[in-house]
Amino acid sequence: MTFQDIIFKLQSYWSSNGCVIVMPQDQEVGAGTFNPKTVFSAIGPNNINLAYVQPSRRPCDGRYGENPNRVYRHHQFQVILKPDPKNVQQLYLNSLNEIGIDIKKHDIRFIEDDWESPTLGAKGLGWEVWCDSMEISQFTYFQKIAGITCSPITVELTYGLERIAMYIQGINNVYDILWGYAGDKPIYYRDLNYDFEREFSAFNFDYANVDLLKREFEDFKKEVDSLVEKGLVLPAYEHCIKASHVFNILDSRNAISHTERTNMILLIRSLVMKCCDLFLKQKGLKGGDKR
Amino acid sequence: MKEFFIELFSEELPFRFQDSAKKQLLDLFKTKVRGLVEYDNLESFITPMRMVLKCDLSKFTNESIVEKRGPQVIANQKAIDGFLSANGVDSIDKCEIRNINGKDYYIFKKVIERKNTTEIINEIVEYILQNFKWPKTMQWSSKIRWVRPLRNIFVMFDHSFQKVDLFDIPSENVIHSHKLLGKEFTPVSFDDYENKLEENYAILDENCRREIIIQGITKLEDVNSFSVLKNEDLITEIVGITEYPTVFISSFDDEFLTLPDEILISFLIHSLKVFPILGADKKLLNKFVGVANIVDTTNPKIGSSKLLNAKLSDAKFFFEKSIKTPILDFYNELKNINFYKDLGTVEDRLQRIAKVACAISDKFETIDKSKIERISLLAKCDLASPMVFEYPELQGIVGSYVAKNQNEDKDVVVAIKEQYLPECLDDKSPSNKYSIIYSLADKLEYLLSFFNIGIIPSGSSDPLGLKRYATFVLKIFIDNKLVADLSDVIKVSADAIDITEHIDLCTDFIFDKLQNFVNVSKKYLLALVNSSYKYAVCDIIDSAEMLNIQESNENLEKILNIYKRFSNFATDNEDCCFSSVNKSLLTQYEKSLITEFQILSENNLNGKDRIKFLLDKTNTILNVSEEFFTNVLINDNDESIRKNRIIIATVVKNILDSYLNFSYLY
Repeated sequence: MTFQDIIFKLQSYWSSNGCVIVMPQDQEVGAGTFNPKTVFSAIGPNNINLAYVQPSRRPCDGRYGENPNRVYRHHQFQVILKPDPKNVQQLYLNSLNEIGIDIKKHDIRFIEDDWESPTLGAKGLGWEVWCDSMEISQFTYFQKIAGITCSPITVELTYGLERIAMYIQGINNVYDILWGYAGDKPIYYRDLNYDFEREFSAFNFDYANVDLLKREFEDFKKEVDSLVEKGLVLPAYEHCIKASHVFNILDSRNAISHTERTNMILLIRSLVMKCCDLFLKQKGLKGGDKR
Repeated sequence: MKEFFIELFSEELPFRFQDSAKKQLLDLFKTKVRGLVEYDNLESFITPMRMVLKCDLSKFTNESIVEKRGPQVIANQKAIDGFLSANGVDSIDKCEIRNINGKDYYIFKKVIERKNTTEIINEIVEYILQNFKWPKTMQWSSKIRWVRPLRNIFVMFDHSFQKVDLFDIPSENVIHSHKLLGKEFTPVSFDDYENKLEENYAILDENCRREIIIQGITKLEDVNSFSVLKNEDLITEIVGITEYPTVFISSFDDEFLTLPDEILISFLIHSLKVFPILGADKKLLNKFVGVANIVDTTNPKIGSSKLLNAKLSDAKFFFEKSIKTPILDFYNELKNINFYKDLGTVEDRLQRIAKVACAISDKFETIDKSKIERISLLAKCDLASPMVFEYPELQGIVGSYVAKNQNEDKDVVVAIKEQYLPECLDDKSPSNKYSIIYSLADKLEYLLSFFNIGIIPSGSSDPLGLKRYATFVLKIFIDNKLVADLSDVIKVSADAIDITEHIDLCTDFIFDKLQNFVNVSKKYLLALVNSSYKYAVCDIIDSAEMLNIQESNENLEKILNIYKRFSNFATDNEDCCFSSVNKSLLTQYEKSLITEFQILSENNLNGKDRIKFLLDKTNTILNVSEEFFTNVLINDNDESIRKNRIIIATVVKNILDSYLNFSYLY
C-alpha cells in the first residue's frame, strides 16, 4: 500500500464513519492539533467530526535528509470526534484493518501516554498506540485547550503517516517510502521531499536570519493584540501560529537561552488564550471562568 | 448466600494504578455494605480493560415492620379516626389491641418497603464510583470523572443481570472480551463469566497472567539453556497491559552487543519492554523475550528484528555521540538549562549540592574531599548529552560510562551512576561511601531549596516528588545503618547553602516519612524522633516496632502515668541534674527514687536495647515513684525542701525524656 493509498483509505473510512474531510491548515504548524479547526472545535459549543491530513513542521527534527527516521516536515492524519463516541477505540482499530493492518495478527497495545502542549496551554489523557512495538498513533481525550476545560470532550486520533507507511511497506528508511504511482512510474518519498528536507534543515539550523525572526516574533505578538481588539479571532489565531513557528526556528538556530525560551512559550500561550477567550465571548460563552 | 459480581469495563487502565485500584474496590465495597447485607468470599480482579468485584451476598432485607401505637381503646372516635387515616388504614379491625402498663392500646403493624434489590445495587455501585480515588482522572461523555472512559457496567446478582443507571454510563447485559480477538457474550454466573472470558482470550486473574508469562519464559530457558533477566517491574507492567499474554523469542543484530550491557539492558527493558537474555557464560545475547497480547505470534512482524534494529541503531548513534564528547563540554550546557523559577540554573543547583556534600561529609566516614568535588562537577553532565535527552531513564548510567571512558576515578564513576538511587522503596540504596554522601546531598538540597521558597507539599499531590525524596533520604540512612544525627545533617546542609526558611518544617517532613517503613502508630515515631536522646534512623524503626507490641504497650502506659505526675511539678530546665540536689534534705523515698533513676540515666545503650531497658524497669519505676508520691509532699511549706523536690521531679522527667518524648504519647 502506497503512502497516498493510506491517506485515501483513511479519508474514505472516516468519511463513511461520519467525519467531514477538510483541508490542511495552509500554514506552518508544529502539530496537527494547532489547526484552528481543532482548537476552536474543542472549546466551542458545537459537536463535530472532522478528519484531515496535516503536514507538520518541526525545525529541530530536521536532519538534512540524512537520518532515516527523522524529518523536518512529517505528515499526520488527524481525526477529531466531538463528543467521543462510545465505541471510539473500536472505530480506530477498524481503521487499521482498512489500511492493511490485520488487528487479529498484530500485537496492538495502548500504552499510557498523557499529552501536553505548553504553547497551546493544552492537555489530554490517553495512549500511544503500539503496533508490534512501533508507535503508530496517539489517542487523546482533550481535557483543556488554552487552559479552558473542554466540555463536551473531544477525542483526537493522530496517525503518524510516515511511521505507518514504513511499517506497512517494511522499510527502514523514510525516503524509501513508496508515495504513489504517476502512471506506471513509482514515485518515492525521496523524490518529493529530499531537497525540501536538505534545504530547510540548512535554513533552520544555519541560515535563518535571527534578527529578522526576533523582529517578526515581536510584530506578530503586536498583531495578535491588535486583531483581538478588532474582534477578529481567526486572523489573530493565525498570527499565534506564525509566532509559534518563528519561535521554533529560533529554537533550532540555538538563538534563545533557556529562560527566554520559557518566557516565549508562556507568551505564545497567553496570545492563544486571548484568541480563545474572544472566540468564546463571541459565542456568548465564558472562557476565563472555566480555567 | 447468593452470587454477586460487578464488572467495570473501561478503556486501558494505566498499569501503575492497577494494584491500588484493586484494593480500593474491595475497601469501598466493604464500607458501603456494612450493616446493609452480609457477604462472604469477597475477591477483586483487574485487567487492563476491567475491574471486577465478586462475592456471595445474603439476601437483601427488602421490607421491615414498624409498629405504630395508636390511641387507647377507650379514646374518642375522633382520635381513633385520626390514627387510622394517618396510617392509611381503612378499618380498625386491622389493628390489634395490646395491654401496655395496664392500659389497652390500638397497635398497627405497618409494613415499610425498603428499597428494592435493584435500588440497593445501584446505590452500592454509585458509592464505589463516586468515592474511588484515582491519582489522575479525566472527563469524557459521562457525568463522572474516572481514570479512563468507563464503557459498560455489568452487575449480576443471583444469576440475573442488574441494570444500573449511573452517570450516563452504559449498563448492558453483555461482556466485551479481548479487544482484538474475542467475541461479546452474556454470562449466567461468575464461573461462566470467567470461563467465557478465557475462551475469548481475556484471563481475568492477574496472578494467572503472571504465571503464564513466568512459565513461558522458564520453558524457553529450559529448551534453549540460556537465562532470561526476569525484571519484576517489567513483568508487572506486562501483566497490567495484557489480557492474554503470549511469550515469544526474537533477536536483533549482534553489532549492538558492543553497547555497554547496562545501557542495552535498560534500553531493552524500558524502551522496548522486552526481556534481555544471558548466555551460558553470563554474557548478553542478541536475543530477547517479548510478550504479546495476542494468541498467534507467528506473524514475522511481531518482535521483528528489523524494527528493533532501527530503534537500537538510534540508541547506538546517540550513545557513541555522547561518549566521544569531553564530559566537561556538557557541563557548560547545564549553565543554560533553567532548573526552576527562583532556584536558578542546573549549574547553580550543582554548586549548591557540592556545598552540601562537602559540609555533610564530615558527619560520615573519612573521605577524600577532592573526590566529592570532582563528583559534584561531573554528576549531572549527562543531562545535556544527546543519549539522556532521548532516553531520560538512562541518566546517571550514561554519565558513568562517559566518565569511565574518560578515565575518571573509580569512586567518581560509581557515584555518578548511583546518585539517583534508590528510585523506589524496593530499590537498592547507594552503598559506596561517596555515592551515599552525594545522593544524600542531592536529595537534601532539593528538599531544602523548595521548602525555602515556600513550596511545601500539602495533601496528597506531590508534583515535584518531594515526598519521594524525603522517603529516600530515610531509606539511605536505614539501608546503610547510618548513625549520624539526621536533624543535624539537615541543619548543616541548610547552613552550607545559606537556607534560612522552613528548616524545621523540612526536618519534620522528612521524619514524617518514617511511616513508610514501619506499620506502627505515628505517636511512637514522634516520641522517638523528639526524645532528647538522638536515635539513629534505623534504630527508630526497630524501637517503634518494639513499642508497638501489646506487652510494651501496657508497660508504656504505666510509665506514662508516672511521667505525667512528675511533669506536673517539673520545670523546663533541661540541664537540671541530681548533683544539684541538696542531699541533706532527702527522705529515704527520695533517695531510692534517685538511685533508680540514676541507673536509668547512666545507661548508654542504643536503639531498641535502650527501649527494652526502660520497659524492663517498669515495675521498679512504678514502685519507687508510688512510694515517693505516697510519702512525700512536693509542695512542702519549707521553701528549700519544695525547691529540692521540684529539682528531683524535673530530673526524673528529663531522664524519661531521654528515652522517649512522652508528651507525644498523651
